[in-house]
Parts: sequence; structure tokens; C-alpha cells
Amino acid sequence: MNDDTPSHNPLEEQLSALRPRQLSDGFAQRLGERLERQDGEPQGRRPLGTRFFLPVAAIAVLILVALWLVQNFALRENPLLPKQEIVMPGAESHEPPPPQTPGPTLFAYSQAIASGNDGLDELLDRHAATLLPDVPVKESAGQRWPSIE
Amino acid sequence: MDYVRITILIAFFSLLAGPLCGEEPFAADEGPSNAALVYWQAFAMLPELDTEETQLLAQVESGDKPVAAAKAILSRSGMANSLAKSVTPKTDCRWDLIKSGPGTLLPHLGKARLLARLMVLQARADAAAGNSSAAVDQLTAALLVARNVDEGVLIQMLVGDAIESLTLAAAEPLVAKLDAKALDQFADALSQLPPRTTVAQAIAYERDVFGLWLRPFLTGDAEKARAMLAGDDNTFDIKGLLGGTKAERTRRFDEFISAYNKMIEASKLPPEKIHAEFERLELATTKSSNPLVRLLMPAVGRANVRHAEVDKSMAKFEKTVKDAANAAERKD
Repeated sequence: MNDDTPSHNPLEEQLSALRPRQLSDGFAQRLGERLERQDGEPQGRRPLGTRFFLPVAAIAVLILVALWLVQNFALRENPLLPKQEIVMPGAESHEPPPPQTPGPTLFAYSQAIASGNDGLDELLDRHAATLLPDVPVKESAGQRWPSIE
Repeated sequence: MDYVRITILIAFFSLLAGPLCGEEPFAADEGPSNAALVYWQAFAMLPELDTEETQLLAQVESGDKPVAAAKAILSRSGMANSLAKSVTPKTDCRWDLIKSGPGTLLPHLGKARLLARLMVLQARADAAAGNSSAAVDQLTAALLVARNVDEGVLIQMLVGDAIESLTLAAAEPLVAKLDAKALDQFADALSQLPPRTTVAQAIAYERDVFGLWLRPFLTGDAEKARAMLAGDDNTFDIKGLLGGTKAERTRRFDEFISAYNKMIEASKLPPEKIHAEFERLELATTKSSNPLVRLLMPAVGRANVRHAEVDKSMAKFEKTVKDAANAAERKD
């Protein structure tokens, strides 16, 4: 384009006659001012707050979202999956649960006497244990006494 | 004059100094004043027996297994045993029950029975090892537990009877193997035991425990009583117990106390009449229209028969030991 060699091509002659538009004086001044403003600030670097907090905030948001997803979906039973029951050894017992042992009250022993000697011995054996069955306490008008239920 | 006062003061303190210098720095230990508290310490040290060990204990007691099979149980019972043996016949025993009618708590009974069973087990082990004196100590300490448990209501009397029966079963075969010294020791210890409760005493005590608790419910305000007993409807049949007018409720209460009094009187009859009379009273109890009598009157007839049997066995045993001690003394 800057070649000064004469050309016999009319188009080329036309094109070589064209000259770039001249920049205005104001443009050069504006450019200089902009360059001065950017001095001392590395080009392309964002402020400290943006550089640090934005990524941290983004990670925090991701973690929260992940936790929410796990809690609400991953830990729930998936209805499409078959249930898996883990049976402990010996858990197949079909024995009924032991009857509730009455507490060591006068009424309980009186009933045991009336039922026969074996009932009384069995009850006394159970009451020989370190931890006795709980006896509910009734309270009324400032008085407390063990319930005989 | 000042010199006179000073001289008097010096003389006074000099008189005091003599006895004070000779005094012990610490007062002598008088021992426990309530055997029940010592027993509770023994209960706290009782081993926890699993089902197998409980069965083993019963098997040794019945003679199905030798006492050596229960060695592990014995090794865990030492402290409880030692504490119980520290109680002497002279120590007062007060269980201080909180009297709450039928809800009166008796948590010591099951534990006292187990403690005594372990003491008798130790006696069997001592006898098997040839240590007669230790066996006699164990057996008399177990009988003392029985007498100390036998304090008030019928159930306490029955547990006392059960402990005495168990102890006699171990003691009777031992008598023939005791030397003169051990027989004297045994006879002496038996004579110092506290007396057994009578059926009349036990029934009277129970009448008072129930009666004192029931009186305000039945002879007082019915609505207040219902509020206090709320929740006990299945056990007490509240409607039957508290229904009717005040006069009807009072009659119901008086009948209840009267039923107890009849049993106390029956217990004082001659031995040949007592059993039949108690059977009759017990039958009347189960058929009574009074809900108090039906629910709360214990099986006194059965208790009376059992107590009379143990009375007889104990008297016979004491005589056997005394006669053997006298015979051994004459031989020497």
C-alpha cells in the first residue's frame, strides 16, 4: 500500500491515491489523559474486595446449595429403590415381650401372695435386682405417695 | 488479793489438766444404731445375678449341684456378706417404712432375701471346707436377717419365714458334724436372736397401715377423695370404693377393719382350730360384697399356715442344737 512504484492498474492507482483520515487534536489529548489515569494501576486487575470476597462468596453459595440438596434429596429414601432391612442375629425371636414387673409395693406383694408362693418368689427375685422398676408417684394436696397401678 | 485469785485459778486448771491429759483424743466408735442402714449398705454391694446364676443358686439350694459350682457367685458376694455379718442381735432395726396404704414401698424385701441366700451359700461352702465355726457364724447371721426383716406387715413376715426355712435346710445336716465348742456357739447365738413376729401382730400392723390411709378417703369428702385417687380406677374400682352416701362409705370402711379384727382373733385360737377358721375367713373374703375386703385383704390363711410350720421347725431345731450341746458337754 505504501509502495511508490507506479502501477498501470487504474484500481490500484485509485486506491493508492486514498489517504487515511487525519486524527483530530482532541483525540491525541484525550488519549494522553486516559493513559495518565491508568498509570500506577496495573492494567486488567480488579479491586481487592472483588478479587477476594467474590470467589469466597461464590464457594459459600455452592456449599450451601450442595448441603441443601444432600439434606433434601440424597438422605431421603428413594421410593424407586427397594428397601433393605438389616436383620440382627437372634432378632427373629417371636417370644412375647416380658410382662411389666410391678413395683415393690405392699399391694403388689399382697396380690402375689394371693396368687400362690411361686408368684411371690418370682416377684422377689425380680426385685432383688440393682435397678428396681419405676413406681409412679401421685401427688395431691401437698402429699406424695406411690401409685399402686 | 490478786495473788490469791491467781493462785486459785492456777490450782483449778491444774486439777483439770490431770484428767484431760489422760483422755482419749477420739471418742470410741459405738457402732451403728440402726441395723437397717447397715443392711442397705450390704444391699448396695450385692452382685447382680444373671438368669443362669439365679438358676444355679436354686440348684445348689435344692442339692442338685454342689456348692463348689457356685464359687464365682461367692467370690462376688464377700463385701455384702461381711457388711451383713457386722450386725449384732442387740442392734435395733428400723426400716422406717413410709406408710402409704397399699402403695407402701418395700424395696428391701427382694434384696434381703437374696442377701440371706448368698449368706447361706457361704455357710454351705464353709461347712464343705470343714470350717464349722465360720459356717455357724454365717447361719446365725442369716437368721438375724430373717428376724430383722420380719418387722411389720404380713409380706415381711413371710419373707422372714422363707429365709428361716432356707437357713434351717442348710443348718440341720450340719449339727451332727459340729464339735462341742461349735454347738455351744450355735446354741448361744440362737438364744440371742430377736423373737419372731406373730401372725396377730402382722395382721394388726397391716390393718393399721391400710386403715389409716383409707379412713380420710372413705369417711371424708368423696369428691376430694376421687380427685386424689384419680388414675387408680382400674385397681381400686373407684365407683365401688367411693360410691354411695357418707354413711355407706363409713360402713364399708368399718366392715373392712372388722374383717381384719376377725382374723386377728382367729390367729389366737388353739392350733387344732386355727387352720379351719382361717380357711373359712379367707373364703368369706373372696366372696365379700365389700370391694375393700375383696381387693385388699391378703391371703392370711395361707400366711398363717406357713408361719406356723416355720415356728415348729425353728423350735425343733433350737431344741436339737441345745440337746446336742448338752450331750457333747457331758461326753467331755
